[in-house]
Amino acid sequence: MERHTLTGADGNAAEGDGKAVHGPTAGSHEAPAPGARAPEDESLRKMESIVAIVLRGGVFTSAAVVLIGTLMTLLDHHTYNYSVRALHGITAGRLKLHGAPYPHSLSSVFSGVASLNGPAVIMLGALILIATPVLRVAVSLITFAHQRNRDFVIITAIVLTILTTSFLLGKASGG
Amino acid sequence: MNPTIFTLILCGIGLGAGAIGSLVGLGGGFIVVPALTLLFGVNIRLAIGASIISVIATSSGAAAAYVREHITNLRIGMFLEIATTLGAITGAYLASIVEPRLLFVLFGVVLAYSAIAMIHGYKEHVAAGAALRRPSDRIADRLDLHDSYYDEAEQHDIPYRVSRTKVGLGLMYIAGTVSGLLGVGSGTLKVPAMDLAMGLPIKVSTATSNFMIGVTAAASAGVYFARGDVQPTIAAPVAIGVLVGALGGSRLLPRLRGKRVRQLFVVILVLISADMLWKGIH
Repeated sequence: MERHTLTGADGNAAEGDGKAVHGPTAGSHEAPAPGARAPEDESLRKMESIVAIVLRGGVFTSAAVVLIGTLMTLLDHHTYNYSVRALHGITAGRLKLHGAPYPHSLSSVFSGVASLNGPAVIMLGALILIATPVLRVAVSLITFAHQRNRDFVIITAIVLTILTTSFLLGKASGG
Repeated sequence: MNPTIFTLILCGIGLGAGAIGSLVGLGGGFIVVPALTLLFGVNIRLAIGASIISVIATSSGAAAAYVREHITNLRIGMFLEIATTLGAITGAYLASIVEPRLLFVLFGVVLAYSAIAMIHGYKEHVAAGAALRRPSDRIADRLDLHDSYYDEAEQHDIPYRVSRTKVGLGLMYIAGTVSGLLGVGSGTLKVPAMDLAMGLPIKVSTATSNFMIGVTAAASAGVYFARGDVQPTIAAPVAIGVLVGALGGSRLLPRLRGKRVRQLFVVILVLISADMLWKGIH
């Protein structure tokens, strides 16, 4: 394995955003070559900032979109504001808008957003939220590829594949 | 009651669930699903759909902080994610064919288990020296899963070895299935799997579990979403409430930390567990 160029110390070198990197006290009992660690550290920090930005950005973007969608829904449906029957419809899952159930596929969500449909905007927010951890995994894939860690590029790709096919399975099992 | 008030109440439930969940270390899912189903009679699959969305929100929001801590073992996390995401899809699929009453029973059982786990607390099971004597594991060696972390309290690096990866994979598959089936984070199953079975130090187990929860939830959420079980008018206020509650909870209620809270929470858990079991059996 090409990673193990330094005995034992390699375990502590900044080689992956999952490996322990401890700053000034790092490798205290294993003393890796200082020159070999600095550039790795740099790119590691950059990767971590990207991950943090992706996560926080994803969550807050989705929250904002969901809020907007909720406001749109409340303003749009006057019966929604007053009717107990509408309430029963909601809890049983039968909320229908203009005769159709709320959108739950990519195409219907996007077309719903285009026509300024409140619930469709909410669903868009939910989609953004679901995509956030997927993006996080994708960033890890890039990180591992950058480090030429073939084993984990494969592992991460497998996880990414499972994540993307989950959506297809959902469509098949009940729509 | 009209839908607008209903929406506000849902938001409030989310706030409570998020705040309590972040204080006590249990996900909000354990409160959201029972509250929605027991108090409002919401269809349990819709409640789970709403809950799983909330789990992604809180986990991703918190994970941004954990990434900097360097305690998370990303390699183990990603490796085990293969099992948890497969489990999540299995669980999400099962939820569509299993009878709802069984879901209630399962929920009650998992809640009871969580309550017991909270009573015992999480103790250090492996002394630092013993960690290095664990049985060798070819997968762990091949993938270089062993690592060390810097313990703030002890002020030095603590190395650890990973073993029993196959057992870990199996347990993670189960944890993922429970997560997909019930809409919870399953941290209570993931942490012991890593800590007891695989030999990771408790801090590493907890941080890695936190990382994994969001990805696992995203896997099952995709299934729920495509199936139409994420109902915008339910999921939206709950998720926002949980997110705000989790982010603000620990700051707003600092004096409520500690043993008393955990004891009180255990009692609440047991009561909810009994309620869910009751609903499932009848």
